Amino acid sequence: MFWHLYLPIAGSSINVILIFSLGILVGLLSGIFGVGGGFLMTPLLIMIGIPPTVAAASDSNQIVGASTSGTLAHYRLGNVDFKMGILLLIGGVTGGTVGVQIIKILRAVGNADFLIQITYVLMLGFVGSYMFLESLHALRKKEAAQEPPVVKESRYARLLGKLPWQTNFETSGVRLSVLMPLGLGVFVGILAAIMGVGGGFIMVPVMVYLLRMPMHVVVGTSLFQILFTCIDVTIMQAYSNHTVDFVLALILLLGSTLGAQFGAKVSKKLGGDQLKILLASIVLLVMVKMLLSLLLTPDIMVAYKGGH
Amino acid sequence: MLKKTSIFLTLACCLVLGQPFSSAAGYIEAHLTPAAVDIGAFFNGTKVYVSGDVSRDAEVVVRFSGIRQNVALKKKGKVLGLLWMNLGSITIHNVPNLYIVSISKDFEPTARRQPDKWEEMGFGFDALKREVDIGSAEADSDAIFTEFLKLKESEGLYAIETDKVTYGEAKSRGKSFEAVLQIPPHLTPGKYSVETFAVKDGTVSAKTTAELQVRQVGLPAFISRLAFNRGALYGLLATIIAIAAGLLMGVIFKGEKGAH
Repeated sequence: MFWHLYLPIAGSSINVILIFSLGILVGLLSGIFGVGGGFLMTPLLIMIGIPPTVAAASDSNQIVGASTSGTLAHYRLGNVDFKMGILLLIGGVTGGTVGVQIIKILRAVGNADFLIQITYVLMLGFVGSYMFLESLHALRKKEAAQEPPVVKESRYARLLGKLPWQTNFETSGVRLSVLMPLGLGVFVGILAAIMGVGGGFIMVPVMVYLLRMPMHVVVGTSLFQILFTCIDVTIMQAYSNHTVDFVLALILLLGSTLGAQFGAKVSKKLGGDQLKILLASIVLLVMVKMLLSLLLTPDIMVAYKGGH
Repeated sequence: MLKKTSIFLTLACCLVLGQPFSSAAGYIEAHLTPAAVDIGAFFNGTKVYVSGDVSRDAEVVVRFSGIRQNVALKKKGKVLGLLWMNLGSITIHNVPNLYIVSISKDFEPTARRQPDKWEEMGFGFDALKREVDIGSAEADSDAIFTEFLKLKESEGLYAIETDKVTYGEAKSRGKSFEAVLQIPPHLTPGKYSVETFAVKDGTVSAKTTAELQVRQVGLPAFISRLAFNRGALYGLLATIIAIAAGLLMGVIFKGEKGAH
């Protein structure tokens, strides 16, 4: 009896140990890869009987704690590029606002859910496969020859160089136009709003491949950014939908803040390419999971309205 | 007028004969222990006992149900003959949020043999289906109701319990009984009704109704009030506590590192 706590907003009771362990697991992922972990946590919470809207909102409350803990740990390791993070954040918030409007239009046209889920699966499949193959290739090359790879001046790099307002991002060690993080932030923000996810999964590959930031800095900067996105989401959800269950979030975040600290240490030990391969595997796993949920006949043909 | 007279006559007869109701019509009296369910911080479902006396030759059926409301559902369907998606939504009107019918083990075969009688008396999911309104526009309303039942049963909110009523020793007038209502942890606070029926020869011979109040107390009640009445403040506090927890964990870990 002692190990059960009643969740006042979810209107159900849960096993404290189970939720705490879930928190540790997601915190670890978050500290290692710089993702929020909502993709994993929200469905698991729904599975144990938490209403979908409460699961999503309480999870974002929990991520606030985990990403604070993770950002701090990565900051100490010198892995947070604040300049880049703030620019991406500005773009992300703008994109999120635009995305909410787009989704309204899509819903009005009809069959929006179909479009969203298919886009999501295709996107995760593409990003995951690309990342996996690219880092596998890089790892093999490293084994074959220890000489530094020759960086080719690609068309993309030449295009980047032509953009106005070039500036140095010291922590990341790159020189880019301010427009790049702003624009990509908008892009990710739109996608995240449409798909109803935090965006860590899209943001991390964008930072690695399009902004060419080193993997470790990507993880820290991504966490820094997720922190602010989730503060915004938590307050909005609590204010307009009353779906944040603080008891649930508190147990989760006790686990996840702990997990995030260990995650940051693990992240430091792994090489950039190893990190990328692992993350790519998780992205592909999520993709397969989503695809299965689309392909398998559901047990129950109706569901309560109000989830996402 | 005539009806009133007959009620008066029946009551008069009862008084004369010194019995609460004529034994031919059957009688039942029941009370709940506890009379209300308090949801505190450690609530994980509970049990409520319905006990009392009933006519010796009658069976007891307990119907435990919640307030009637409209439920909006998403309907799943196939797109391109391959992919399962939420396609459209439907509203089922006038369904209880909880519906648990309990009977005794010995009564189960009888109830199973006479589904028509069972439904006629208003017990079970078939009877419930007649009371709810899925909307005339829905061609497959039967299928939708079946799926809705599955959803509710998976949450433990709808059930037919066949071994929850037991009988005690026979008394001069009748026999004692006890029914155990398993209260699921998934319960929404509010008013619930516990109807206890005496059933004889396929008809209800007597009935008594009690109200079961389910309410949040202590910490859950405090958090609910804050979340619903002061949403912005609640959200702000929730984020501040989360940030504080994250910072605290960071400080603890730094301290640990320094010690090494």
